[in-house]
Amino acid sequence: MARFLNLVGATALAATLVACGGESMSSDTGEKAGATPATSAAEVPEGAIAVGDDVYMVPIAKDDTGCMMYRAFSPTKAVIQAIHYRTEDDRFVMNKDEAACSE
Amino acid sequence: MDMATFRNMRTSTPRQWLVAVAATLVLAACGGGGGGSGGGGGGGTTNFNTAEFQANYGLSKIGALTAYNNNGTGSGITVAVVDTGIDVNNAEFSGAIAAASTDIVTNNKTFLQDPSTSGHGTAVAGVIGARRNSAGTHGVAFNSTILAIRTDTVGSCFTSCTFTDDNIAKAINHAVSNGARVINISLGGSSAPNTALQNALQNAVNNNVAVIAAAGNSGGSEALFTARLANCTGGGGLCNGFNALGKMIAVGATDQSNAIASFSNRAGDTASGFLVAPGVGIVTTNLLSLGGGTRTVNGTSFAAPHVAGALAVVMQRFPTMTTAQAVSLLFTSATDLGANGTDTTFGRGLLNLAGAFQSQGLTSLPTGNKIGDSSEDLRASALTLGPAFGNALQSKAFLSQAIVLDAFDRPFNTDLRNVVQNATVDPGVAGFIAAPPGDVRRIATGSSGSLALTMGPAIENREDLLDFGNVAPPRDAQTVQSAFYQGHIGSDVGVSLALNASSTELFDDVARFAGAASPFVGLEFVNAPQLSLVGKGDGGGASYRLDDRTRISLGFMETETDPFTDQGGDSLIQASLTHGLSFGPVLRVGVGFAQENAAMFNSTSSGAFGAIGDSESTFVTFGASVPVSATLAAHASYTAAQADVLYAGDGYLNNWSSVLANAFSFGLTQSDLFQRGDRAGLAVYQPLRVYGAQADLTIPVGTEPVPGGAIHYQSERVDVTPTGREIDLQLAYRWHPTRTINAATYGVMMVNPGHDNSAKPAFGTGIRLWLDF
Repeated sequence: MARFLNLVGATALAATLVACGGESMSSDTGEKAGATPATSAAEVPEGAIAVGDDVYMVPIAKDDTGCMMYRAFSPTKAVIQAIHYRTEDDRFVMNKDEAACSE
Repeated sequence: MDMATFRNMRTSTPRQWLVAVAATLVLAACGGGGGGSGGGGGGGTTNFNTAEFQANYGLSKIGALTAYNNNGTGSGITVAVVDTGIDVNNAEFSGAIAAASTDIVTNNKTFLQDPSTSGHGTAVAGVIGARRNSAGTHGVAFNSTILAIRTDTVGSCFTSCTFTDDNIAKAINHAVSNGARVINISLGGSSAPNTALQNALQNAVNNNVAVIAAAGNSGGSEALFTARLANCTGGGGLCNGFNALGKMIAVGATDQSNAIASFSNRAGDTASGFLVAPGVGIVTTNLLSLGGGTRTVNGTSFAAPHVAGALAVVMQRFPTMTTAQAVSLLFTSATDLGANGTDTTFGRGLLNLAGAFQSQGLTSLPTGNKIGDSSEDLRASALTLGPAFGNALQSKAFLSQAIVLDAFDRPFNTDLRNVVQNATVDPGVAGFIAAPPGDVRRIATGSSGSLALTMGPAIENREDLLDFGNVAPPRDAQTVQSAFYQGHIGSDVGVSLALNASSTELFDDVARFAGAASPFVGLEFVNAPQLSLVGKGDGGGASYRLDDRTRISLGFMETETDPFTDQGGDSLIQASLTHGLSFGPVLRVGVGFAQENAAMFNSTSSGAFGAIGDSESTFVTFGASVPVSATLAAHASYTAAQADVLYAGDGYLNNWSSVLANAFSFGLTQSDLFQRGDRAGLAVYQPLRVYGAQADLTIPVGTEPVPGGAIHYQSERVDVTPTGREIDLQLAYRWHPTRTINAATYGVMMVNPGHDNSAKPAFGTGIRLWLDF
């Protein structure tokens, strides 16, 4: 229930903020399209699983062995850029060997 | 064709047929002049292709073996890892963790330990700098120093670690103030950095600290922050005035087949500051609390430290590069993937450490005091020695210690002996097969003389002439290649005038006595070597018969200077006295004064060697022809020569001494040997050979191992003399079976060809038939 509330809260927060990360544009002129920095935050992706305070695990796709890959996501903070796997007890780990890949 | 080659072709003669072979430089990284390679590991006969190396395929994928075999290990370079801390007691980091490593959030070193719920910082640090210790796997820069800065929010790693911009900013500033050269950030966020973080990033690059950031795992078209700022140059929008100054790299992930990882963010609008590196199935260091050893991980988190480690390696190995140059080197040397050139998926391409160890761009020979001062393109730097110098300088091992600088100001060893071009050995073939003047039109000019016009081929580029508004001759018209007038005034004075004639034509009497009229091939250039120093030109001469047995002659010629190349402009003044003794022998004394423009004995130099100055040379020849019988004659000739370069010069080779050389020949000729009118000959001779010459040779041998460091030069006073003495034995035969049919054959054996005492004997032979009409 708490995880659900977190998700709802984060979604609501994200809705009030301006999304960033505009379309691809050449930046060799030194400029990049997008919102004004420091005030922007991204929306929580659909299917994201809240795992902490404003932190989510977002399913990406199954890898070549059929194991679902997750990425950490936070609309307001930086997170580590490692691929995670879900264990049977709903933990998210970097070590695929611990994952419950049959699901 | 370079000017040196041009020059030698222009003055080519049988003895001087130089083949300009493009110098092939074998380059090898040379470590910044003795201070750059640092200690520990690498080089020699060490086998780096170990099980520990092979454990992480990423190492071989990026060509790290080349770096290790060239002493590139990251030694002495501090790489900051802004992450979740490090496994402080893990043997993989024994001696690797910088004293300044800390938990930046609590400012308490005791919390540096990477928590067992993460291990991310340990895994990242392992890819960068895990030690080469015959266990597990090792990092890209296995001798680098890891400045581990734990930055995760207190308590966040119980679920998934998070990092605030303010703490990341503190970590970056801590890294900058504690000597980091590279900062790895395997973190990413969706939001542009706050002011504190942007300022910290700017502080880093302003202080020449490179920032490497993971592109993120969203599988999207753009990198996450901070990676997305990698190519910002101070503009607006998302860059918000931030200028990476070319010192940031965003890193995406590839798999073992070099395909972009499905989860990896693409380069997008960061393409020009984006690399990819292995990030799928990476084997790296595991926490001791999780069992130690290695673990297999995925993500751009682990692609970024491959780049960070590689940057540490090139910074250590090539200390003359600035940070921006080191970053640019990784971009330039990357293996292009995907669409040609920089693209929005792979950016600049796959990290290629092996490529980064190759010289990049044009290599140049430094001529200034410091890196970045003046230099000369290696390709334009040449020293072409004339045949008289033989293999001079080839034996100077000193020349093998030189360095060149590549486009990234990195010194590489090069052997300048490959740039010294010595005359190739030509056993007379070139002169022998040279076609005689094909169409000589002789015009009698009264009883006093004749004019010979040598006709050349028709105008080849007639249309070009028309394009320039010239009146072109008819399509099939021939050109006059040279004109030669010979006449006499009275019975005692002979005169000659020539336009565009060769030295052997203009100094016909000298050449004939020297051997041009003999059956031998090329002997005139042995007995009158000065004739080989000038090409075609204009001139004239006069001779005066003192009495029935004595004649003096004086002539001069000058070649035209090409206004575009400054080649030519040589001159030769030749005087001779011939006296026939009453009992048969003919004696001859000749003196020649040659002036060569930017050359000496047909030797030229350019680029970093500087131009050999104009030279003056004097040739004194004593010759004798002694009839032994009505058909048999003996001949002998000795020439002494001295050349002086008129100014010292300002290149690597300068301050020449006087150059002393000599040549000699002995021979027999027999007429009517087999048939009436035939001529046979046997000659032994030494072509012109320098036996006394010295010059100052100054070459760059190293650099101070810092950007813009001093160039170290080494000077030697070197003998510019060949190691051997060429002695040739020639047998020749000419036959005129009819008025129109001519036949000639010769054979030559050359001992120490090219005045090279290590050269095997060379042989040459030929037969030629031609018709006169």
